Amino acid sequence: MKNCKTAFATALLSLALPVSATAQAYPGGDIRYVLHVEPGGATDVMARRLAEQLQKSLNVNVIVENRSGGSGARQMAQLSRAQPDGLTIGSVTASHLGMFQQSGQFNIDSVEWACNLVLEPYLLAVRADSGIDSLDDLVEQAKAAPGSVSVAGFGEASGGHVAWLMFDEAAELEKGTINWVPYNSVGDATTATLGGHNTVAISYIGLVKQHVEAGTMKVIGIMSDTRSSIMPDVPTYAEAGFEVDTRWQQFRGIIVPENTPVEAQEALCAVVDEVLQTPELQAYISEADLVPGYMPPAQFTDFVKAQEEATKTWLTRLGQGQ
Amino acid sequence: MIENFIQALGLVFTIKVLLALVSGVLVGYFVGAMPGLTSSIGMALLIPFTFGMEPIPAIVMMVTIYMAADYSAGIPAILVNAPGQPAAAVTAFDGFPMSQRGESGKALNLSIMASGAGALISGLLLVLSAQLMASAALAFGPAEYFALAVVGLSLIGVLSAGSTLKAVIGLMFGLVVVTIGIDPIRGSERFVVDYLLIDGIPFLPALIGLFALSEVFVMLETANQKIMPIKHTPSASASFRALAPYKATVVRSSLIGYFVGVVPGAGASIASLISYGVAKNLSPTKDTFGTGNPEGIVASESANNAAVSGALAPLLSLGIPGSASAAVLIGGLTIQGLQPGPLLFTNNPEIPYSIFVALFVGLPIMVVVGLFGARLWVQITRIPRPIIATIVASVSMLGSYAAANHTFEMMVTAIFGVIGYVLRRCDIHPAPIVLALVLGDMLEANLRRAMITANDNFLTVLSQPITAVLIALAVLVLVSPMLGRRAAK
Repeated sequence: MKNCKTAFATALLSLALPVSATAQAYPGGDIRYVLHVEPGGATDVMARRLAEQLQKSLNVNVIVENRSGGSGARQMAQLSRAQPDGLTIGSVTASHLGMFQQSGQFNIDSVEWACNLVLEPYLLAVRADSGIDSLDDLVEQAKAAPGSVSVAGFGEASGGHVAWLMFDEAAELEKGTINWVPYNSVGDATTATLGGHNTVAISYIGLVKQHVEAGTMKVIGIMSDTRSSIMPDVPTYAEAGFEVDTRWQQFRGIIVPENTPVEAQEALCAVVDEVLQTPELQAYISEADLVPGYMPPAQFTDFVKAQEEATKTWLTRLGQGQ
Repeated sequence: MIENFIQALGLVFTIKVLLALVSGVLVGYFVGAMPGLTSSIGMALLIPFTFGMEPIPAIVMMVTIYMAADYSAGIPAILVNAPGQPAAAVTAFDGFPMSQRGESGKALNLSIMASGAGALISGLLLVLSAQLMASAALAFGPAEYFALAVVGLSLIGVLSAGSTLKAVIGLMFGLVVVTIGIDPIRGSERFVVDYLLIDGIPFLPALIGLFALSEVFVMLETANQKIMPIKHTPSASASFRALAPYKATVVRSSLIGYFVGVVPGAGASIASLISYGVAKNLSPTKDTFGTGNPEGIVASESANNAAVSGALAPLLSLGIPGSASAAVLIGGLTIQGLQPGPLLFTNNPEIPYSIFVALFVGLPIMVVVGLFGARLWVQITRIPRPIIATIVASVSMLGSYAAANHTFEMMVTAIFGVIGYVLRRCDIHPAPIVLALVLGDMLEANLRRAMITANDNFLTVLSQPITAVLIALAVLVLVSPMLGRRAAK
């Protein structure tokens, strides 16, 4: 009987807890971090590292859950069902923007864009023995024999595809000069180029670094304002004479359910900014060849809106071109 | 190389690492045997725990999970027709009929011996050729993948047990199923009636439905039939001898498994299917395949275990994952601050050599657990049908839920369970469906990629040397049964 009473009291207490929690300062409870990727990949590893540090700093549990599937749609569904109290947060990358174009279910307004963590600039890489040494060489070779050169990248209408289209326009290439070949991942696209099945890959530093060191690949241009400290010899697009919008970069950030109060978002992001400075995460970011790119809620929302706008513009142009 | 081995032996033979190795084998047995849980899921679940571990024990544990899970997936496939992982579906073709005859002990022992032999042969191949295989893995581009998928599909004639027409119906059904989801090239939606279908029909839950759940329905129908008494489970030494007649099959299947495993993205399921098809094609008693021919188990198991080492070759030599599990292993290596890539052998030779040693030390442990366990596991077949049907049904549902923590997968399993049951009643074998589900996307996406690169000229696609050879092989496989029939007349 005593057990029953205890159980009853515990049950009542557990019901009361969330009520009292709202009165406390953020977070006031355990945080659920819902990821749109499978365990083991780069985004997952980074999120788990971040969760570890958040847990230490906030003194609450940060539980990482993988809800992969539907190119992020499944995670979005999970987030839209959650309480908008700042205790449920989600991972986000540029692939969400691609999913919004395909799915009628979710769009950029279905969530709040809390903060960005890191950026990753796009780059163009070729096989070391391809005879292509610069972006100019690539354009020249393509114009000399239209259709003989192909570029490998991730998906259709993805961040990488738009990045390529931007270069395509800057280089004034006519349609059909260089064929875009979509792969299931940037890694697959890089491997295909390494194997000589495509001429050039649109990829990231982390994916090509080892092959560059081994002397089998060469990076001919990086889509960023400044050169990379890891590959200081690689010119930026602008240096090579191709003007593109360098704000266009792959990003990894945090989203929260729609209508999460701005205060909660800001409180969360302040801690995120803090833990991003810890030696552990700094070491991880530099080892994984990422670029620090923290953005608070307002700035991140503007950034994502600009990305969405550009994706739509490019998609329309692509549609007209076909 | 010898020094590296000696150094790696020293690193592996410490209490910590051996503990990691044994627990890896045990965890691997569990995740492999649970339908729905795969080695890649098991390894991924362990990733957070490896944060605090040293590199060698972490990597050794993940590799042994990978190896053991690949074997143990065959256990439920043989006992209750519920493959623990996709590749074991092929093991069920002959394993389950043997079990129904009361020969589950023999089937289990044969499967562990064949797995062990496959792992041993491919392990040796890996040590000798890991670095050479880099160029082989890179030689596969869109045109070559397309041709490999065609080779796989050409096995349809061989895999179809009875009527060719029914096999084609099964194949077409599978190919229709894989068109659901996002178009791999254009990015447009195809039959995506619900956003959950964006990625298509999830493969694993569909397979669980097709095999395990449909079997549950059959069990319920035959609930009153008497259970076949279990025949004596052969001893360990008898199992060695039992494998002897299939020496040629073991060697051939291990080679197929290793080389298919090397090709990134091909993997254990394709290896098993090809190896099974080839074994059947070469056998003088083709008709007994699918009705409980031990050679079918040997062909499937030695190939899918050999594919494990195969998938490790491009990982170690290039940093390119040969399979989903290898991709998780790369994640594990990066967490440890290691860069899997072309320089791994030069910069961190202790990692590849510890993996080699772990494979060879883990192997006998896996075989011993398998041989002794077989006596225990066969008892499952003693359980009365209504009870075992309930258990299999709930484990199937639990497994498909666990695959993605979502009820959608359970629905897929239920629907495919009903479809599987209907197909069975119409005598349509699941093999062609599995073939289509495994190869459909590879076939379509890569043909279209190759066509873009070749400016829509199909002849350019076919003129690549590897592609041409593979297509010729496919034609040969397709017509050989017909020629054989004509010769017989």
